[in-house]
Amino acid sequence: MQSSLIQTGPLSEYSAKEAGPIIIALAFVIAMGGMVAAAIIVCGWRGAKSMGINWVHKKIEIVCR
Amino acid sequence: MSLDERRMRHCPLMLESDVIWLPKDFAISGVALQDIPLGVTHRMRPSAVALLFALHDKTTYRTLLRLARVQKISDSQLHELVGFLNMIGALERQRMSADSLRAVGVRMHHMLLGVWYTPIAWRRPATPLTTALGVLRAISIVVGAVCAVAAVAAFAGLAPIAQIAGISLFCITLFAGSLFVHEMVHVRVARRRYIRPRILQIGLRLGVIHRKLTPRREALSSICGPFAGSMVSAAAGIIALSVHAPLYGLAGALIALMHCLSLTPWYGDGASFYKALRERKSLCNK
Repeated sequence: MQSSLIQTGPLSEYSAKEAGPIIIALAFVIAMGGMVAAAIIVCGWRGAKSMGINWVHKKIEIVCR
Repeated sequence: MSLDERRMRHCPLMLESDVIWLPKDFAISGVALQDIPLGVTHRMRPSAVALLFALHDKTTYRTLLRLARVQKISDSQLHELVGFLNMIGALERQRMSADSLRAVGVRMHHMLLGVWYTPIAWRRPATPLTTALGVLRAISIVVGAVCAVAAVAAFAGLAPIAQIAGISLFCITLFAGSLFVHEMVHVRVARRRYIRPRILQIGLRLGVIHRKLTPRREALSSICGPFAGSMVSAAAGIIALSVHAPLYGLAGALIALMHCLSLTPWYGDGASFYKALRERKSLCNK
């Protein structure tokens, strides 16, 4: 096995504060994009009228023209 | 010690013509690489020091490869070293504009083969300007994704174009603004201890790095950033609700929630916060 050129750099001394929201935001935007794609697939190009989340029945509703 | 997979994964894509160097934050002392503002010393094998000296004087990746062969350093060892330097923000790269397109091609080709590269790190002293730049660099992919989704939604007629443009612009502005506040609060709290923090951005990852603080200050810094970010977002959401714009209010609430989620104990702010709490507890027990 090849050996490392770095001898245990004390990375624990680094106090990194990372902003996690960026990754969460990207995941959210991708989910929104998925919903848009689903609306286009279901209703066709320029076919979708509205979409939203029905919290009572726990499902996404896409209302076509 | 064996090669570290995590460090190797941080290796960015390098073309032989790329010019690379160590930033001024780093110095070579004997067989160690010193991170001056953070007060951290990384010990190196003597064979790696020759590469570090070459990097200190600015070199091309081609020269570094040649030097590695002379020093009998394998490709894996070199990738681990370069990945490690990138991970701590100790690598600056200059690429000729003609090579940028070629790099995209190589990246795509390697991606198809299942090889992914970490983007080059961007590390600067934490000032309001560099923090703002770091935020913009980190969220550029999110902004691109929002614009793409908004454009498709608008052209597909899901909602009026003005409404989609308005909400997208609001989300992007609020997200960038709240992240800026989030990071600046971390910086301000750390600065109170005469510490010079650095902004480190690698792809989607954006963070503040600094010398070790006292557990109390560390916990305070960790919790204040997400708190400030979520307060800004919540305030914007409440203002939107007060002018009868529920969709904008919902966007504000979601962005506030995203800041709160960064306090989960597995990553970033949350991990720092819980680590500081554990350290404080162990100090109290002694």
